[in-house]
Amino acid sequence: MTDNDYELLSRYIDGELDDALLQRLQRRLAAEPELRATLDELNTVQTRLQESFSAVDAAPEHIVNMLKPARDNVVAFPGRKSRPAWHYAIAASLVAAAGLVLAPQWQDNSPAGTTFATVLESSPSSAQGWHALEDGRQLRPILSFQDTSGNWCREYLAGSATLAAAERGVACRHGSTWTIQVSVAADVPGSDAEFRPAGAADADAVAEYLADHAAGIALSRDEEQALISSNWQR
Amino acid sequence: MSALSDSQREALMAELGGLRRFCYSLTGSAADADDLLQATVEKLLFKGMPEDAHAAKWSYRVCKNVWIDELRAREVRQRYPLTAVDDSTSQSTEEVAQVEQDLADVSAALDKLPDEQRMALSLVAIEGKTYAEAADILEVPTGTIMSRIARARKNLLQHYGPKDNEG
Repeated sequence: MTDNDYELLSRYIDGELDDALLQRLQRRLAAEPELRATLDELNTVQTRLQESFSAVDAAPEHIVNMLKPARDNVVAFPGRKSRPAWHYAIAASLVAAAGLVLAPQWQDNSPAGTTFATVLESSPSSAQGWHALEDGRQLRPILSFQDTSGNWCREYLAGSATLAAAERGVACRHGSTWTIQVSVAADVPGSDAEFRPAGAADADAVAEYLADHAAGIALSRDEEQALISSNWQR
Repeated sequence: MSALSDSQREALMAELGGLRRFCYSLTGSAADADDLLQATVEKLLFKGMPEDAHAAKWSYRVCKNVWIDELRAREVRQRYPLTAVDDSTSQSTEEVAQVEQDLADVSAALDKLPDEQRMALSLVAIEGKTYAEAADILEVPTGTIMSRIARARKNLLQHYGPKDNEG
């Protein structure tokens, strides 16, 4: 058995021989018992490989979830729907540098039942101020726009109670549900530096989402108010 | 490169099962396979994928690159010792135990192969890729795939069989 013989047999098993080589090998196999025996052994190894690994193709659910389209991340309340682990990984790496604590504004303006979704549904966009949520977080809608599929979407800034950690994202309205499409960890600006909406220069997932999905420019204050008044029906 | 589109995510999700198996055949254990798979998916999510990229080839190639990085890291901090087969009695049936034993045996045999042979063999013999696809994923010529697989099989035979192979 030469190395070349092993290569021929290997290609035979893998179906990678052209017709001429295949016919020549088949004639040799009929005439050479040793070659035939080696092929049988190689076939046994091949079967064993395939059978042994036949049942290990189930990816863990948390990894499958990482790849699920973002529209599956429906905002659920109270609390927060789980998000892909890599979001947390980014958040952990970016938020560590923030360490900025601001006194929560509008802290006493916190009616029970104020959720992520109800604020997106009914509050105008703003460059400052926060809506306190019943789960202790704070939320600020930043702008509204229509996506290329005709859904209404809002860019928002969400922070922990002390604003030590914050994230920026986009949620879109499907049916009567607001769904987070994308979110990244964000710095919360100080009171003298107001938050700027994602711009072309911001190389992050939110800016990319806006670039890819926004149908046009952000809605004007009047357009947004009209939509809020009509429960986002137009 | 922008983030993955929904259709790209779906195409990649369709590859996850095969990728997981590929990870298993490279690492030889379920826990390491899941770590490698997760690292691969994280890299895919971070780096994105060209719109015209073939999801299977792209994802296997990313996986291969993550694994090569891991192997280099392991070389630096000494290679992991082979984990002993779990001999706990928690196997539900003998059949399950036998399958797991086979898997452990085959993994131990694969672990003796040089990494480049193991990757080529995994892609073709276990994942069912063609030589051309494997060459594309591993970024080597098709002829190299051919000879690596042949050498891998020859090595496995010698590992398994105390048969009297002279060559």
